[in-house]
Amino acid sequence: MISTRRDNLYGYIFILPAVLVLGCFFAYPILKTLYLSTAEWNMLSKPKLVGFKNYIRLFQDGDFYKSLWVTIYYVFGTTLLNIPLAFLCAVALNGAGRAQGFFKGIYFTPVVLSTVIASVLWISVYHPYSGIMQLLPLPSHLKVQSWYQRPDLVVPGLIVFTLWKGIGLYIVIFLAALINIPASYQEAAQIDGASFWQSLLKIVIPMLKPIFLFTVVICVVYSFQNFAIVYTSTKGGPNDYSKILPILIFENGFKYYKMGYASALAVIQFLIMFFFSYIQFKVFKSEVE
Amino acid sequence: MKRHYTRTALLVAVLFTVVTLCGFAGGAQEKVSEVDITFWQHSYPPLNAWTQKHIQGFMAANPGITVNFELIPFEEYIQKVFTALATRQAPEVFESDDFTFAQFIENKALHDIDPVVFGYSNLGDFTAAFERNSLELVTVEGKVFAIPYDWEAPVIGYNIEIFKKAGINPQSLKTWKQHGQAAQKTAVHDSNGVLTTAGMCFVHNIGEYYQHIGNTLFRQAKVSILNKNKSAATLNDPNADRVFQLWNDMIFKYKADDPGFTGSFYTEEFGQGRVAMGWMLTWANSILAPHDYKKGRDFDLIPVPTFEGGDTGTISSAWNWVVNANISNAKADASTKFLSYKSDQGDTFLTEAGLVSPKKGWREKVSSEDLALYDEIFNSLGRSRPHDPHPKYQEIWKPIIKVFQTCEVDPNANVRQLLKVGEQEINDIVQ
Repeated sequence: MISTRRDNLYGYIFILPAVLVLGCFFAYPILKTLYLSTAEWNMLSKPKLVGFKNYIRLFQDGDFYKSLWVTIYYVFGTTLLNIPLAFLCAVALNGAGRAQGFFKGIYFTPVVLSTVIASVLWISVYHPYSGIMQLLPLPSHLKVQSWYQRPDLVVPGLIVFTLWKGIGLYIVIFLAALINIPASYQEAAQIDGASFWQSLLKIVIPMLKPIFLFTVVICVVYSFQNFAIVYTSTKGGPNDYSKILPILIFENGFKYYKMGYASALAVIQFLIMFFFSYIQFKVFKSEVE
Repeated sequence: MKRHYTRTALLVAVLFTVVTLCGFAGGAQEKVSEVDITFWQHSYPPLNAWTQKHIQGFMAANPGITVNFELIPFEEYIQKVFTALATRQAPEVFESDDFTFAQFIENKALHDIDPVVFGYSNLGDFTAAFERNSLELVTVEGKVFAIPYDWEAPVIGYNIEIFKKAGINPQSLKTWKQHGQAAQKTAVHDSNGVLTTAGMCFVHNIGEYYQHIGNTLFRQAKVSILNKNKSAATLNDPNADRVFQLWNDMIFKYKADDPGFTGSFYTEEFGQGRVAMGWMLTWANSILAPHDYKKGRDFDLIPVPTFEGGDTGTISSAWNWVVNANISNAKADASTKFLSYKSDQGDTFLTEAGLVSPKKGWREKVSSEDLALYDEIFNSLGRSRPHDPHPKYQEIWKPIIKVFQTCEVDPNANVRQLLKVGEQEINDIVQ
């Protein structure tokens, strides 16, 4: 009994530093955000508690709904393109033999490139006067103005950039999963006369469902929080047509100094992301099982 | 064995905690002197170099005071100041733009400037040492809470070569209609319709510049955002229509401007000879110098036009040096002396930083050639007054910027309807 208590004590002592770090950098900010979401605070004076006033205001704020729609458009667009394309690229790379390493490097380079540098690069890509986009065989109405300046094209433009920036990560994840599929399964399918696509649809994809769940969840979570790419590219413009929720939160907190309202927005964003993640786990869980 | 294990575990935990706490304690102290003050400045190379030089001069003249100089990137400057004030880590001396100043005052974040420490026997002599209007915004209830240092008023910069080729006399452009027609004539598009030379560049996509430009346009249109009591919006005024219609027309009717013409500011394109005219402030000369663009040879300045029947005045703005309210009297006095020293260097402020100080007494020390580079700036400053401050200034401008940005993307923007909505949003903020 005493020996068990002592063992427990050693355990607590060893995890104490990690708990302290988690407490300081995770639990405290979360609790403080919850507190501030019920207050008005302009950073220059003390927070003043106002109950649920920030939440009531939030649900009456047209800017919130516009931002929410933009965020969902961006998240779904990025995820629905990123995951299937990454999977197909991984399948193609899986058969690339020795060239696989070279192509993996090509695909992964944008992932490790600084977001700010990549944003500046893509601003110049879309530039109507000197951008590479002018060289593409696109209709002229798509080249006359930067996509980042057009309300109808700013989010697709950001999705293309996000795709370029992040697809390498998902390709590497899928590739690692594909390599782990026993070759005997596909050989057996070939013997039975299955075509490449049949093998892909009936064997490979079902076996990779846990990987699909993982990549979809992280893609959705990452896209929801993708402040850096969108802010450095468009700052939420033109005219708020690319203002995703993280930018709305940032502006309310650090441009209009309404920290309480910004905290309430952050809490709601967390709940929305939690809801989406929960749905994905529910949908995929039964399939995975 | 078990005791040794426990001791080891405890030792590791304690060591880790101590190392972590040391990390929070910060770096080594600067050299200890009688008074140490820290000064935060936003990044702008000509200004930063000038400041660095005069800090050395100030410390040489005041051996008991050490000034620690820190540069903060322009885009995040005010945010960093607010965060530092919130955590009581703000420096002794920092800067405030005109737009956030009222918020600092409302929350008592600033120390008033003692005229005696500054070098004058009384407040009257102190304020008389500055140009007309320049202290208006920073004087509250008889006390001065900042020293404006970068005093600005708008002008239009134009490319001499482009105007010569177009056969247009820029001095003849008195109204925005004439200006728009000239911009239309000087704008160039390629075969795809892409604007390759802008006829007129307003500044888009930078929040403060909608405020800079909008304030002057509202004055010209004889429109106020708020009533005299600042208790209600008065933006839903038919006179305000022409401000936003001008914005919309320059892009869609005259096809002389485009928010996507440049990534941020248009000086790069101006220096390449791809801008016929642009909205400029006092920094016109210094910001174009790296492009080897010289006033009188490559570009020149003309007054900002106005609306037909409109006001010819402009709205000035300034960056201000301010002193943190939450510091000791000794540091406040040292900070005030530091501001006084810098504000006496107006001559080099113009010749080296390319900016205009509102404190009098330096023009006599500057050559007539150097002064001539700023003729139009001085004229604009002479016709200017400060904007109307408000503690919720940034929030109030949010719906106004929305109207500007809608006019940038929608050729059929219903300005009347937009102003009605904007006015209601402003009322929700101020009431």
